Amino acid sequence: MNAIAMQNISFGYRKNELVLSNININVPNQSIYGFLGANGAGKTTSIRLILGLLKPASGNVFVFGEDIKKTHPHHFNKIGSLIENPSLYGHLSAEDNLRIWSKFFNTPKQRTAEVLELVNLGDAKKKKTADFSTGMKQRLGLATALLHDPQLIILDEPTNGLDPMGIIKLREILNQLRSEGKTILLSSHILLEVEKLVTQIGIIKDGSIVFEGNLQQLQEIKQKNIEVILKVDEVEKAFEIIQIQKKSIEESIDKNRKIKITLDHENELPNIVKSLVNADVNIYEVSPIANDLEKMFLSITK
Amino acid sequence: MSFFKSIQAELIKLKFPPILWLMGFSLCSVLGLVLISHILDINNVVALGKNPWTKVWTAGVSIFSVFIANPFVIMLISAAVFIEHQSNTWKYLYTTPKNRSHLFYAKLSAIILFILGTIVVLSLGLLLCGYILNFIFPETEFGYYTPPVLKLISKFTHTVISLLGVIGIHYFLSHRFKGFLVPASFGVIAFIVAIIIGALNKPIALYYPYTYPIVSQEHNMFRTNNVGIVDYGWLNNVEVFSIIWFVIFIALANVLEVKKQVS
Repeated sequence: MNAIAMQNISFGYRKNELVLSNININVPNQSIYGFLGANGAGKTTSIRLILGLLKPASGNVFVFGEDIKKTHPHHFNKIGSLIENPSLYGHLSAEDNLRIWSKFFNTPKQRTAEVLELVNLGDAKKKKTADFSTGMKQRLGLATALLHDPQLIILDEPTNGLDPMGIIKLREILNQLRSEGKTILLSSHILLEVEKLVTQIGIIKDGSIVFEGNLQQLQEIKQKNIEVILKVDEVEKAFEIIQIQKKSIEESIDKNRKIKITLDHENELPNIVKSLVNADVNIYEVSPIANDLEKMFLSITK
Repeated sequence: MSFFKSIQAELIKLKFPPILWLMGFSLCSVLGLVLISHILDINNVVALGKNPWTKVWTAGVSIFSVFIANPFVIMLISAAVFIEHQSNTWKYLYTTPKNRSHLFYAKLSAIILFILGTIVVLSLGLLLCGYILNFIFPETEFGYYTPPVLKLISKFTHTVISLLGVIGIHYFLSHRFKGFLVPASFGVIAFIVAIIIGALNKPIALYYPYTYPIVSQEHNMFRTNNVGIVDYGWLNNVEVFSIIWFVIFIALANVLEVKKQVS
């Protein structure tokens, strides 16, 4: 069963202007789902639709197999969320902020202290949140999302404003939550963070899902369309040989005697190297350009 | 129980410094005016065989109802709802396991409780005023007479009922406009107009909710004999109209809030 299933969701803030067009998202239970997309692609709008803050023009949203239209608002007992920047009552202390939400979620009193400790804000519990740094606000926002020990945690850009230590701590907390069997939907523009955490990935572009799958499927894509830099002694000769094999040569840097080529699959590389060696072209360097998630993300959303 | 907890949560939010200042200012204004006016006119307070508390009650309720109640309620409601707009917390509030109507009425209940709490403190303050006057001027005999508490409760109850229309309108406006200035400014202008209409002594006051706290009771400040006030038992027509305005605006605000898209 999926923790979240968005089925054929379309949405527009104005009539006839859809910002999301027929999107389908499936977040498997007990996974960490990385939700990627450029600014304005529709990530936050999708999250607001999942949370019922916006009503779709068409389609349905299911949380743990149940249509949210039928379970609203009781399904929020299972969902904790942090949407964009954390929203706090600035005139109140961290403790009072959590006390408010604990009344709505009916959580035991000691839970407030527990989550404050979890996000390292135990010492600042009496401090007004208006005086908090951005990172502290973000951590308190996370504490709010975790207050009622939800099964599904939706975090929209949770690393915003966090320092490197804060990001490491957040990663630890998320891994801990995953090991407890929680499902996490994580939207972030810091792709490196997503790559280290997630088990599933969805990529949204201009209001449509352009990729959804697990990391293995992503690795398969990573093996395709790889770029390699070759350093040779005779650039022009190497050009000719590679062109015979119909490989695209995007760039040549004569000064450094380097050539950048694009391959359909990494299996093609040994043949090219063999051809060059057979033609007496000396090769000094063969460097695949790392096809990391960021590069892939950019190529998919280009 | 769940609704009670939600009201508690809403009351925590009202620990907003501008709201506490507003409460303090309103209380000090009424009590200060009552005390000073009685000290300056002490000879009229001393009347053989008459309960001096009645005069203090009337002065306190009148000053509050005519000059303070409207601005206090307008500012309080504008600020209480503005807290959510300013903190951008609607998105969290509406992702709690409470339906929107529940949250809407919890906030409204907290605001009304806050108004009632202020009136309770004001009543205690009026009681204190009497004993202060008795301490300074023992001949006033405040200590000799029993304070007619039920009479004070009755007067303030009428004030609160006559304020319901304004409460409804401003709860509606504060939800519709995201800033503080629009509902607050509208309320201040409406209050000034209410004073003018109250002074006119004409039936138009029956159709303007901001005049209701001014004309619903005899405050000895405006003549109301031509307004057309009709008593229906314990309530009068002005108070009934106030309840009707309240019900209409609260119902409308609730419907719109339930349908609101939170972007």
